[in-house]
Amino acid sequence: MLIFENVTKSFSNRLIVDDLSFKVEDNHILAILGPSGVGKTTILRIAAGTVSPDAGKTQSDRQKIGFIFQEHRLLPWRTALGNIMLVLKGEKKLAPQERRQIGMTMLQKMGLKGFEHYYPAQLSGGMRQRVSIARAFVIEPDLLLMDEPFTGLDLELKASLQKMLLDLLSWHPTTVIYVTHEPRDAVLMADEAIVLAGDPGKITARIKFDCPKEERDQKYIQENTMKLVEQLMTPGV
Amino acid sequence: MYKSLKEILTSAFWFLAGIIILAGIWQIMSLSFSPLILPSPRETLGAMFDLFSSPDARQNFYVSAGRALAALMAVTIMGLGMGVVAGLYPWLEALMKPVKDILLAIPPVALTILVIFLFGSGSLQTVGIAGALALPLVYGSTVSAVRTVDRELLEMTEIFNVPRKVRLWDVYLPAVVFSSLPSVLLAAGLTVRLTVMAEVIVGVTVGIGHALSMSRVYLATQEIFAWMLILLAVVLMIEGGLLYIVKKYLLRWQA
Repeated sequence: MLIFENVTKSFSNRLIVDDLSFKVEDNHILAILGPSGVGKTTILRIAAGTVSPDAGKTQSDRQKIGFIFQEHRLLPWRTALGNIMLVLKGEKKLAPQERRQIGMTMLQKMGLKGFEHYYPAQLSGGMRQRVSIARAFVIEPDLLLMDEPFTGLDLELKASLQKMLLDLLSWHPTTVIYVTHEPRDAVLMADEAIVLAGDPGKITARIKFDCPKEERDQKYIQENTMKLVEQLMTPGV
Repeated sequence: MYKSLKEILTSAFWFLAGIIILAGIWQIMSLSFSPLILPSPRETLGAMFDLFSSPDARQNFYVSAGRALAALMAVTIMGLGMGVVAGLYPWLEALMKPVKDILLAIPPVALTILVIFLFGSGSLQTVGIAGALALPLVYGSTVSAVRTVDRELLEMTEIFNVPRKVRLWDVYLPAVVFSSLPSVLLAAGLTVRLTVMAEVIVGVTVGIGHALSMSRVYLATQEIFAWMLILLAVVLMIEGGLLYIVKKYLLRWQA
């Protein structure tokens, strides 16, 4: 379980998040929605440990953190396989050949067989994001953080990546924080959503999606999307 | 990113046209001067072929090339090494700034004379002068490269808990090397020019600089022009060759 307890964070004397508390159950997906500048990415950075809160605390026993960024953040001078093997280099118990094998298997899982020696600049936007997803899963993370990973992709590609991601999560269930500004994506992917609003950002709504993901039909998705949209339209606290 | 064949042929055509125009102007001007002052392109080419067949000239060429190569290697290793360290530690950059400013500001000739006074003349001094004068170029660009390493990539490696050593080899080093490549390419041509200049002033007994000094003494103007053409070709070949190697083997990832 990941717990945020009364977390506050400022940057350059500007309060970004104020007294924020929430928890994510094991192997659950929590979606965080809200307008730009409300502190969504800051929450991810705090969860990732690259930013420390000014007040409050986070509790987690997570060791391996995977991150899918909005922009792929692949090393341009490493191939698709090289980028995936990079994050395995900390795994001392793995021999280079094993790392390679694991990387190849993961690329295959992502439908990128045959592209392992391609550089990011030689891949399409969707393929780069698939490499980025493969990189996040190859370490078998016990916490996965996603920062608007489908922004800028066309609808068809987005839908296929979302399906791929859910398949990977059924292969390797893990706790996920998923930042998005698309209410529909949150309903499709998450078990629960929180809506942030205001300056500094505070939680203005929490919605649980009790229906199992595979059973969510258009009506369910539509209704819950509307609920989230209404919350997003409500002025911040 | 790669040029099409048509683009390559077009730029080669205009490059050749530029050479022909220059040679034409040179030919016309040579008609107005004595060959002792301005030899014609034909006389210069003749002198160049004579140089190729002379063992002494070949030795001069090889010695100068060796010195320039040694200077370039020293500049690359020291410039990249010192630049990386200074880029990571701002206090070190401040500490080295006066030396860098001196090397950038003083005229090359003044430094050469100073070196002769302090250390005498010889091969090592020639390499040292060429290296010292080209060093700020590679060092400065390396410092900037370290400072501009993509913070987002570094954050990614931090989140994924990539070990420090791997970060240094897989992120910092390639980023710095790729950003510093243009300055290394510039330094390659610069060290050739500086080596010859230093040879002339230091007064070495073998090398292109020595040959130029002798040609001046004996008023063999066509030989001076021939050496200039050879140097021009060498600098162009080094820059072009290095650029080719860099593009083919180091920058393959830039689609």
